[in-house]
Amino acid sequence: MIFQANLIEELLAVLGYWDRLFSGFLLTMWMYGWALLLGFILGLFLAILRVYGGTIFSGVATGYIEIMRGTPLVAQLFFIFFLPNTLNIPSEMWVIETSFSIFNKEISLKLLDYPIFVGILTLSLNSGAYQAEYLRGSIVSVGAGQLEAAQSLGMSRLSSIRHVVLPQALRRVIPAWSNEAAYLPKYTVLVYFIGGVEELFFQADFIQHKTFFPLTTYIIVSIMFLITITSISKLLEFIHKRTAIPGL
Amino acid sequence: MDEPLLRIVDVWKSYEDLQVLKGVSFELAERDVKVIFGPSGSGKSTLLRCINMLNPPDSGEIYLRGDNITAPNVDLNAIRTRIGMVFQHFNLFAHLKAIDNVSIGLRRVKGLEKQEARRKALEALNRVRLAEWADHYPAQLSGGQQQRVGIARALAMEPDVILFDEPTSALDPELIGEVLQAMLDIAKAGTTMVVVTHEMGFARAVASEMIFLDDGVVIERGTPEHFSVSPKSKRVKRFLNQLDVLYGSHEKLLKLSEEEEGK
Amino acid sequence: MLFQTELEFIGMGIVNSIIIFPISIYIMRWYSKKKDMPHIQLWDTSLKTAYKVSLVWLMVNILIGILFNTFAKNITIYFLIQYYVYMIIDLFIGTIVVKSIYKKELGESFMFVFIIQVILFGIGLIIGFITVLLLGYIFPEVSDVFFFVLEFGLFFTLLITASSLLIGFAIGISLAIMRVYGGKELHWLSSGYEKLFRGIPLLVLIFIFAFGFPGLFWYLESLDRLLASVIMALGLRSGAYQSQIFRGAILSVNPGQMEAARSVGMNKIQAFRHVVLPQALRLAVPGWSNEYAVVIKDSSFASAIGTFEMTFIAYIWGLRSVELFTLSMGVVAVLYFLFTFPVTRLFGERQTKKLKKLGMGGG
Repeated sequence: MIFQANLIEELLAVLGYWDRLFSGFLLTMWMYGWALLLGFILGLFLAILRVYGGTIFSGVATGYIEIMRGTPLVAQLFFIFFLPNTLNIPSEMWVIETSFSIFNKEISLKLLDYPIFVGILTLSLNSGAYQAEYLRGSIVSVGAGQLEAAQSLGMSRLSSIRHVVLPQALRRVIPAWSNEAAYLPKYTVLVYFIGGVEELFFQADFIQHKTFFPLTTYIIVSIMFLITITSISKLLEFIHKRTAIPGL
Repeated sequence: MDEPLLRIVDVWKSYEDLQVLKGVSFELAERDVKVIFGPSGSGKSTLLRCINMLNPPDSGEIYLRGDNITAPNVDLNAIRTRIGMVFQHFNLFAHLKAIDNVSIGLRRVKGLEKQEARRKALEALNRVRLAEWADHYPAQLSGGQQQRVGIARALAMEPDVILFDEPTSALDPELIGEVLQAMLDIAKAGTTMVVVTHEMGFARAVASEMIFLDDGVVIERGTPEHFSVSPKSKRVKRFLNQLDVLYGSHEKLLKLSEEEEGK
Repeated sequence: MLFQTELEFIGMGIVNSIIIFPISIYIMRWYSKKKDMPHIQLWDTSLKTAYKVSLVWLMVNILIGILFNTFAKNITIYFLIQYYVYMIIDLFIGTIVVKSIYKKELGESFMFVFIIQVILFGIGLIIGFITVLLLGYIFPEVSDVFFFVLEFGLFFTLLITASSLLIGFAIGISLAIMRVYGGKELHWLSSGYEKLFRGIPLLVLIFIFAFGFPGLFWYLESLDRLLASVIMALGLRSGAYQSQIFRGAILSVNPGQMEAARSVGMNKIQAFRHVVLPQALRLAVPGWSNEYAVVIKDSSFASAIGTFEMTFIAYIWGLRSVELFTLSMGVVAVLYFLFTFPVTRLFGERQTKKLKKLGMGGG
């Protein structure tokens, strides 16, 4: 009963909007890439602070991580979105747009405006807290002996962390970290809440209102997400194998 | 020389409530090999870690060629380049090949060129007879080989003194010989060493002085002959007896090299 | 009257419980550390149990608060008396629950637990008083949104969380067993399920159940239908995550345990039921407390389709004026934090330490 006889028709009707699905997908990946990158930088910074920062800095990092992990993403998003309004800061942003045509369809893509900026920022701040925890785990697992051995050679603390601890920690973190990295794309749908960001879920919403075939639309979007996530985790697995330390 | 290479004056150290070192003093001249032994928990490892300032002592002074390294404004990193350390659990850098393990200090601390560092590292590896294993990762080496890389890592920095923290106690019996041999070789080549070990055979072969440490105090000191013939305190006698039971067999491992030298 | 509405009363009860909880823990930890004397040793263990006392107290308090909220609608002069009556009932129930759950570790008398409860009650009353006063008269907006969200949102958030976790538990544990002990087909089925539900964004799942299958919850009213689809989406997804948690826990029970149980003559099912599962469930507690936090946080996604829960209520409140939007979101974030942090802290880290002490986990 779920699938009617006109399944093929539905499918074709939804796929008729392939240009929208495609541009939505591009925007999703664009936001994902930035969020992952910024989150990683933030996470690395937080993790190092938390492990080597001394009482005050490690306390600050821990507090940040716990707060970000303890509150819902939606609340964080709204909080950040309305913050400039509350503080009376103008929130106009430069808008970056691009357009290209593919198979005779003109696709125009808004790459940066205020909602997209807020989305990327929220995701990075949140993802940074999670990535920090994974990175901290791997830094701790490298062990204090490595740091001591480096220091016994006369290397400074900073240089020991940079040349001895981090290269090992970054290799070790990949399996756990790929959980975060591979599943972050699906959190980009979050920006649906503030509206106006034409990513994949927004486009799905648009298509289902046009075609009145919600189930087919959402299933197609689900499949797109599944393929994306699976390929990212496969890629990370490959990287992990390539960077593995021989004999370990 | 008036000033000994290493002078340790009344070093005290405690971890929280536990007093580990209670005023240890000794001196070490150039080319000396000092063996420190004693029951576990007597503070031997802590003493070495104090000398390297990995755990700075609570009170007391340590002089390296006349420089007080316990003074507040000393550049510890510069001091540590002059004091090598070999760890009980090797602590090799797992992500680096043997040769890079040895050369990382030369490159990052001494600022040598890549080629120059590699040449020196190979030299050091050669001294522990591991040159052909240079391109292996630590996890691909046996425990004995790993420890020899650890020794080479310390050697390559050309330190004034090398500290050995129970270098053979984490090894399987059949691997101990090669490590002791490497230590023996560099000791005979004139390296100044402080060795925490229970290998009495090694001590007899090269030690210029042995120190028995118990409960954070030096109980007795003397030459290897002194300890093997007539140790004064009962505590030492009993301990040496126990060691004989446990480690006695390892002496054979070193016989060969002594004979070689005899020739 | 000091209190204008019953809402503030109920809010106070809940605030009491929530705020008292971390504070009492830290006070007691500090006290037991400071008084490091031999005759205190007995007290020390008792104080540890007091953490648990306050935890149970919190649960009971919230439950009774919600019940009270539902049934006692009219404001009377006797309201104050009723409030104290409910607190005293609360004390007794809490004491008995604590006694029966943590029988072994208490070792102390009923009176001891009761006295701790009374002390907590006193502290809670004072803190609650101060909180209500502070919030109500110094930051009226904060107080307003706080109690507004508690009154209209908390129940639904907890309902969604509890039911989704329950559905997820049933699915998760069966999938985990299938994946560990089942044949190739079952293994394939369960890992496929995990991949599927972990890969689809939650929002898409909610929309699929809410709009994709219009006839799915035909017997419910329209608003309840949305609620049901949210629970369904969260529950199915949580099943995928919980399956992972339980699989990890089952696998980390030492294989020797199974062998030992078989050697006593148990069959495979008995061995699993009596030896492996009890250990696995204990090992799963830290992961499970994380999953609880994830579900309660992600229940906020339900606001996308207009289901009542804390975030949506805060959103509605914020619509009054845009300047106050940040405030309402900040307050609701704090509320979620109070529900996630203590739980993950207590069940996650403490339990991990406890398991290590018992030598369980990690083989």
